[in-house]
Amino acid sequence: MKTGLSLQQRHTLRKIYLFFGYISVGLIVLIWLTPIIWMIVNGFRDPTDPFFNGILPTKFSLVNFQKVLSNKATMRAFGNSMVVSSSSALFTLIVGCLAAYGFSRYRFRLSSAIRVLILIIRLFPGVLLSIALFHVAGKIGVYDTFLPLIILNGLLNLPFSIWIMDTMFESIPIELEEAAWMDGATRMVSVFKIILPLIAPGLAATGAFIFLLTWNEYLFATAFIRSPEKMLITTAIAANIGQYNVDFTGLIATGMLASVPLLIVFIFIQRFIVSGLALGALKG
Amino acid sequence: MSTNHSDMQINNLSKLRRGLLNLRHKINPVIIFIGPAVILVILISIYPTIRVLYLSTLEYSKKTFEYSFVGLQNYIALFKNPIFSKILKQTWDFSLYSTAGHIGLGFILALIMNSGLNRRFVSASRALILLPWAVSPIVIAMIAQIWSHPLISPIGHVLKFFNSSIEFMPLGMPGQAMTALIIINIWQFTPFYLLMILSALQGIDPELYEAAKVDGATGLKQTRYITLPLIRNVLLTLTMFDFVTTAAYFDLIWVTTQGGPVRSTDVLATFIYRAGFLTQDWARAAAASVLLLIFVFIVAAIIQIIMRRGE
Repeated sequence: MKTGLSLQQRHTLRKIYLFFGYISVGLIVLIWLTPIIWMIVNGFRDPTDPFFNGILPTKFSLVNFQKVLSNKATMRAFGNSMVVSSSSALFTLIVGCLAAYGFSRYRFRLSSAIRVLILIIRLFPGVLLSIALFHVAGKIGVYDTFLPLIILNGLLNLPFSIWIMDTMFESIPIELEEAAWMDGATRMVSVFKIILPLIAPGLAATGAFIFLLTWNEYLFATAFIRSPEKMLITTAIAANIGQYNVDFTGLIATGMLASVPLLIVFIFIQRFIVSGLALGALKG
Repeated sequence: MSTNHSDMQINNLSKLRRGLLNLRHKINPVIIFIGPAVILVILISIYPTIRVLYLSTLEYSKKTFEYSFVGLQNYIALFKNPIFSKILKQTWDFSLYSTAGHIGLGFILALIMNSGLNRRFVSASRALILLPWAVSPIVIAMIAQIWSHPLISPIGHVLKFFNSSIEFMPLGMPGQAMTALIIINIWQFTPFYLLMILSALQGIDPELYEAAKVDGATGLKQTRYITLPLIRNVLLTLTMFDFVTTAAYFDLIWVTTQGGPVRSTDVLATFIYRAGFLTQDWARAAAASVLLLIFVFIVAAIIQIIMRRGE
């Protein structure tokens, strides 16, 4: 050892270091969450307590949420987002599950090339896809429908979900399936009866994650939808931001309803997502 | 000779047959599993690229209402346009500073979190700090608009409290808007990169650090000689992914400033969107998209080369 510190001194130094470590991480997290906390607190701000008065509300009420929940257009936007996001999640889960199973259980020549091909779609700018597919969507009659949103979002989330599901499949020993085949089960039966139940929690988490990403998406939602009654929640909020006479408290309440429920789900699923994403990144 | 030859033929035939059998046994299920994903990828990414390439060589006539082939005219027009070079510069800046912020800050935070703090504390903070990332950029844009409002911004309130005469409305100032957007972007997406880097750090064998300690390497030296080389490829992969994503970033910028004020936050993505969906100049939008794609692939290729060279 080069340093001339005694074990005791090292121990003290370590303790001081840890103390500052905890403080700084705690502070960073707090600073990072400030805007979100600000949004949540101000969602309860009474409309008669204007924002000029101060950062934090002095009068609290639930009026904003009542207003949002009784606003037909906003509620329809929530419903539309729900339809698009859940269809997109289902679509990606099916396609992604098949592909991930194929990648994890078969060794074939173009395997890594195809993996790279699928990853490359993450490089494609969304605006390019919108520009290219806008006319196509018009020609085949799906412009101003949810279909392009479901497929495009599903596709862009495919690489992520294949990563995540691939690691889930690989965590299940093939022997489990082989045992079932010995008993005469076909591949499909072994997948549906043995594998899928085992990874069901992971699948649900992946689905929820894709739901969240699609829910948050804006570009496709504004590019492929024109009718106001088909607006998604992101486009509805964006349209309100641009307005001259913005009802700030109402807007914040809408933004909060559009994000906080998902954040709560996210806290529960992030453990699954994190390990899958990280493993994927290490491989890629 | 001839028997030998036919033997070889038979041999080849049986090889072929075995190959075909193998094909039926091995490839068929694979096609069922991987096929849908591959078809989708081709249909919805490669086909649009070809379409955009084609569209970018056309010109729409307002007299005949028809498209005609003009070769590289759209590209030449873009490069002659002084605003377009400003937009390229701004796209580069946005992408560069955001990426540097995400990866740099993410790395530092990950190092702090990985320096022996309680595991439960670390995973709880990681989950919490990740929350802004899970909020829609549109909701973030809404918060940003209010935070940049000259009369009601919380930051403005704080400045007023300290009797500052600074008028705080960064998104409305040509000289500040870009910086503000970069900071917002760094704030929202750094946690994601922090998370990825942290996972890579947690995957490093602790014995390596023990060995280094015996050799007298501590603190920064460990970071420099053990941590960095080990997670170099992860960092590079993340950098590539990040650069590409931020170069095409749209949502937050469009909803907060639409490229303004006075085009000071206009980037390729907003330019393309405006050219296409607002001014209906699809050929120009297509040409700019092709340039964006080329840029993205050049960046990806350069980083791939750097990665290969280091191995």
